Amino acid sequence: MGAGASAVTITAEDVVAFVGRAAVTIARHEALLDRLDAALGDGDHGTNMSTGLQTVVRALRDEAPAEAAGPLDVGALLRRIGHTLVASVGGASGPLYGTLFIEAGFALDGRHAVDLPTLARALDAGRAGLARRGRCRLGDKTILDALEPAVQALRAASAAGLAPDEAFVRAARAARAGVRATIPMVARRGLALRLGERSRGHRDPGATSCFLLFRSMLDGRTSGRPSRRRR
Amino acid sequence: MTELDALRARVASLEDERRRTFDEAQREADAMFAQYQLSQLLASGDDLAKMAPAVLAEIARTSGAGDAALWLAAPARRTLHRVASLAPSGERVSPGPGVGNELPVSFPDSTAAGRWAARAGWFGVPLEESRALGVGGAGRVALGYLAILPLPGQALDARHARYLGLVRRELALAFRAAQLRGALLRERATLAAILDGASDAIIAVDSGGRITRLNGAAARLVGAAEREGIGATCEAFLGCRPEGGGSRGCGRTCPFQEVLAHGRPLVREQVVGGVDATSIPVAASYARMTGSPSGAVGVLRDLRVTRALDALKSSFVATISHELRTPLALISGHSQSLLHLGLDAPTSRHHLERIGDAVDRLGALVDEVIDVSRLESDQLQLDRAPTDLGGLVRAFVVEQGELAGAPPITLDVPPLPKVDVDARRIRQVLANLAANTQKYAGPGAAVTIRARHLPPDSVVVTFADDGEGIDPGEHAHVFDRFFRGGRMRESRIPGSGLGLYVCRRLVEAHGGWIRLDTTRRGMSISFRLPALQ
Repeated sequence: MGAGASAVTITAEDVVAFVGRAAVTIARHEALLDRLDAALGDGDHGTNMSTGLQTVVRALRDEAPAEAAGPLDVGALLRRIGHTLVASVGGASGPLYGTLFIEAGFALDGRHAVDLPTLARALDAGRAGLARRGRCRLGDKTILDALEPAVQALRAASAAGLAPDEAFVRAARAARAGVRATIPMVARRGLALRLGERSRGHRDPGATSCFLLFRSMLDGRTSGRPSRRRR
Repeated sequence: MTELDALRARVASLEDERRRTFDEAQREADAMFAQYQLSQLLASGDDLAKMAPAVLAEIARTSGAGDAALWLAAPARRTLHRVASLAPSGERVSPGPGVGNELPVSFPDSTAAGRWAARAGWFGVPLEESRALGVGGAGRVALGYLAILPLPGQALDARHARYLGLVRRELALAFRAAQLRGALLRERATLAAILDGASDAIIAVDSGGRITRLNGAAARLVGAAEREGIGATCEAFLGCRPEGGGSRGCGRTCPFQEVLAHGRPLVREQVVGGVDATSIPVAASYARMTGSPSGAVGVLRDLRVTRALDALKSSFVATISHELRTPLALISGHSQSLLHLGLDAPTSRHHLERIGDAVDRLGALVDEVIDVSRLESDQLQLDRAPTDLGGLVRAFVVEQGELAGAPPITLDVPPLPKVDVDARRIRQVLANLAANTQKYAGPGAAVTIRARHLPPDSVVVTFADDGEGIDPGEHAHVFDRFFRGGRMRESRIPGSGLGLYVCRRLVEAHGGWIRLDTTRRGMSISFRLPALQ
């Protein structure tokens, strides 16, 4: 959302811009995510996420003229993104990411500008929704293993009064560390569950896509973006 | 109550209702997602028994159970066997009074499973095949039993029961699908084995006459590789031509096209062309395959072997009748003389001796034929024993010496390891070889029998004479049934063409080989016998 150090609020335009960046990032990593998923699931996580995010981008663009009544508030926008993800991302990640956005949207109902602490709390509500729906906990080798540390980092950064850009950098770093932590884990949720011990040694594709979403929160102008070593 | 209070209360109740509806919607969504995840897991195509632990973990987690176990039945069986439980050993403390602390390994049927669950305090549901899925519609078939144990002090609530109800259908479907998949795979493997194992050529074509499937025998029939056939037209692959007709290509008379058009099975004899343009007579039957897309299957039997057998049979009848007629004519002639001529005793004796010789020859011939029929019907029983080959050969030479007209035999037999043979049969081999020499080598021929140890486990015996030898053009056939050299057939030397054939079968029955040494003058035949180490 890269609002810059001077701007302290995040608006619907920032969210739309974030979704555009996320769609590009995920599309660029589509093959990687598919490959990661092939080891644990059915090998289509990258394709599913990429298709879903592009559908979201198209939906936001095409429906924009219909908003004659005025701009959407951030909460409604997040919920719309969530519903589109549920409907357009195949596999379990559609409902899970959808829940994340929808629950975060409920927390921001009616707000047109959101400050960082509020956003962090909303994302935490989204995280709680995702964990409940997926019945997953930290360490189950799921999206949550990247999401939870990232949201915690965001909350800590906002509590410390850091600027949004710096907070997003910290969140992305925490997410990346979370992705690495999934490698030795044995899956306890989802399709990888049937692999048991054999799921050990693979990076979780859901956690990886979650990290990529957090990285997309940075608008690219910001210094200190996470390293590209992982490519 | 003021109007304002009433409005406030109304707002509060609406707010409550909204929250309740929202919570209910959330729970509904959670349940749907949980079921979706289980479906995904079940649909991943793995064997249900193999992924049962994962499925049970998922079920226990969703239903909030403390334990879960799954029993499954083998196809068409009622007995249920435990395939998984959350605690791998199957040991746990059951809360039911008077019930053991171990999960039953099996139940005779799902009713018994239900009784156990009720006693042990488990909540169980039978997995049944629904009628819609039933093959043959034989009613409900028990596929398995799923049971969960609520956490201590917790009852199963309606939501969990509903989830289990859904799960039960999912599991039954997945398990039945896996069973059908397994049955299909086995069926396919069996059919493939039958197809590939068949000695007749089997060729399946689609409605356009392109080959969709063929077996090894079909490829061997025309001398092509199996993969060359797939996708080729049957015409190109078989080079069909109608029996008797000269033109290549079956055109309108293609039997595949005929059965495809009319659907009636077709049986005919025809000629197909091998890759080297040879003509192969075949007896073929064709049938249309039911189902869609349509196609036809042809089964082609190579008639070359049958026809060769026919030819052999004719040759056998000709040879044997000739062999029978000669001594019979002798017997007839001599007995006529005895009957009508009033001969003196010495002359009568001469005639009787000739009759005796002829009867001996007939007897020998019948023995040979019996030997051959035994060899052919694989009834040959070998009475194997460790045998001193040198002793056997020397005894044989002594016997031969007593026979009139037998060729002189020189021995070259060093001390050898014992051979594991049926001595009587090996003596028969030597006798046949000697008889061969006596008949064909010409007068004054001499025989050498040589034996050598061929380490580690062979003794090779060579039987050589210095006679007229065998026409090189006939070398390849000397061990064939009823084969007689051209020179012999023209001569008046009697023979059935079975002697060397019997030798070959006997030596091969011992696990050895026999061959004609073509580089020597005269006839030299070597055979291998198994030596004891």
